Amino acid sequence: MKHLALLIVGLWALAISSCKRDSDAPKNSFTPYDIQIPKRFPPMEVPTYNAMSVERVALGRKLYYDPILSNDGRACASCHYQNMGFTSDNFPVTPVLPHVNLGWSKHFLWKGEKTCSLEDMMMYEVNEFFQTDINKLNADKTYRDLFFKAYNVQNITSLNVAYALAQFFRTLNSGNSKFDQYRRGEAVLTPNERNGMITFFTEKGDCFHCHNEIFLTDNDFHNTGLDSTFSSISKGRYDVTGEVSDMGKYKTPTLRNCELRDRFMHDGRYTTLEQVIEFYNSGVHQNSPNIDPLMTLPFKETGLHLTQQDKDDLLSFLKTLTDTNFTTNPDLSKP
Amino acid sequence: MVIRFSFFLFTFFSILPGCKKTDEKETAWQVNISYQVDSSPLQMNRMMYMCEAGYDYEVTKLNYYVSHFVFSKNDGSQYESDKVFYVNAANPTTNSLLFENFPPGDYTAVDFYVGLDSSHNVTDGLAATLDNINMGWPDEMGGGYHFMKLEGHYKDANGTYGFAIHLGKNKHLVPIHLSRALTVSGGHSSPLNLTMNINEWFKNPAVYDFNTDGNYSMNNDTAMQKLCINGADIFN
Ligand code: HEC
Ligand code: HEC
Repeated sequence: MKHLALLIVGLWALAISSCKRDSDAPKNSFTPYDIQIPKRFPPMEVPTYNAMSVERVALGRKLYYDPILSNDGRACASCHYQNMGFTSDNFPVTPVLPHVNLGWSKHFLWKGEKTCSLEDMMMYEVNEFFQTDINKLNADKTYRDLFFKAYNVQNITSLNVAYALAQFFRTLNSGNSKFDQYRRGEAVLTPNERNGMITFFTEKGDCFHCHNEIFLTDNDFHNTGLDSTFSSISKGRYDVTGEVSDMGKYKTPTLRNCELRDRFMHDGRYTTLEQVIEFYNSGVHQNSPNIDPLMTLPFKETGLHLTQQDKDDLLSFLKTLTDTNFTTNPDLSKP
Repeated sequence: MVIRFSFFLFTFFSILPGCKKTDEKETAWQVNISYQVDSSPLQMNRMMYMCEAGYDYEVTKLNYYVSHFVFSKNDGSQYESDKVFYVNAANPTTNSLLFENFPPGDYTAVDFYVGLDSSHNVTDGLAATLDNINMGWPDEMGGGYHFMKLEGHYKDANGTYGFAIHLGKNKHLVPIHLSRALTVSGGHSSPLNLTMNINEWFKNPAVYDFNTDGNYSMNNDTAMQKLCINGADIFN
């Protein structure tokens, strides 16, 4: 009888000590993460091999802001600032494309160099753009623990890093601008914003054919007639496909949060939205080879003929696409 | 008593659907679409076709919906499908239209619309997908969706120009009627193969001339009407 009591006490002690040991070592854990999809947006496809979890999103977020990924002190966030809609003017050559709603994107970069999953796109960023030194991450105890927790791996690979970044990207979703709220019946536009919206969504300005209502991009490539001839360095999507019909075509950028940018078009030739509007109004080179058919509607031959008031109103409308909930969301900021 | 009566109701209603069933089980069946310009297969972005009005042209984009399929048998009975298909001529997978639950039988005709029936042609009437969003017809112009976007470039003696044939609005549906002997069996039935001849948009009964009728159909009901009538025989 005494022996039995001793045995029970012993087992109990053992159980307690093993519990303690457990809580010291990192445990693999998977807390499912529910992506907040804005109303009227399509469901987002998430590959089964990288199911969303709270731990993975948090890890991706940490990596995004950490210069450990590069060899020159830069982090992703060094060029992609949240307060500018995850873009910036911090790159001398090519304007920085924003990180917004990319979970629905199929083509990446101005010329569409990458048509792939977000995971593969992140592999490119990590391996080719940043040439991440994976040993630095493996030498870091915090990251070793976090990767073990999120992905159940002892040895971190660039694939793990790319997967974690992709998770964070799937949370960078903007769909709560004043315009979104207006469409949902939750906000009222001023008469000027409304007039600008009508220009945007009718043949008067004919913007909607390429900048659609939800994403403000059609995820496609167009030659909008910025130039009548193409430079030998950049011929747009042609550089990727070799198709003559792709000369001068670039990815349609989303106009979400465009108010916060200060370099526009694939070469950053414009620094204000007023200049962009004036380009569409009177600067389109109708004779550009394979210009998009939508840029040469008959009434566009001599420009859109927008009055100064129309142009001001179009600008006011573009500003309703700014989503401050997104640019100030604490869940997306530096952890 | 109440219990017994409701039991009766239950058995009655659970038998009901059984009466509707046809002898053979429903089957998956497919309609495939391909494209030609008269006798040549369509290649996008190649300035190598000639339309009835005499212009060389190329197609850069062809996206459209087909909906409201009705398959008819000799005895007058019909199978109606409420499926809506988005088709992008440049994307092969969208050109195979799958009917998951097709009732087998010998059919003699098929009717459908190029475009959307009015119940779907309202803002948010279709599921939010990237393609449907791109086909949106803004609320500022009445809402709903584009039925078709056919875009490209053409040449006349003076130069090269763009064209964009966009159809939309309920009154511009294009009804298609094809008499075809189709046997769909429970096993492996050959699909229905349809070919769209792009040039038929621009002729029969009336020649559509980009320079006089308009290389853009936007805001032009007369042009759209002409194209709708021409469009009746685009498929064979
Ligand atoms: C030195 C500045 C800079 C840094 C640092 C940077 N980027 Fe970028 N990013 C750019 C520029 C410039 C572009 C547009 C380049 C192009 O299209 O040619 C871009 C584009 C992208 C795109 C494509 C967006 C689209 O809409 O197609 C993705 C994705 C992206 N970056 C992810 C990252 C990730 C992940 C990191 C960190 C690993 C990162 N970037 C770090 C400058 C930067
Ligand atoms: C034929 C398709 C098309 C139409 C129509 C169109 N856009 Fe664009 N838009 C584009 C493409 C493509 C780019 C990028 C072009 C480039 O950099 O070469 C662009 C760029 C922009 C930019 C710069 C965004 C950035 O971040 O650099 C703004 C702003 C813009 N468009 C607004 C408009 C407005 C306003 C209208 C209507 C007046 C309009 N667009 C009509 C395709 C289109």
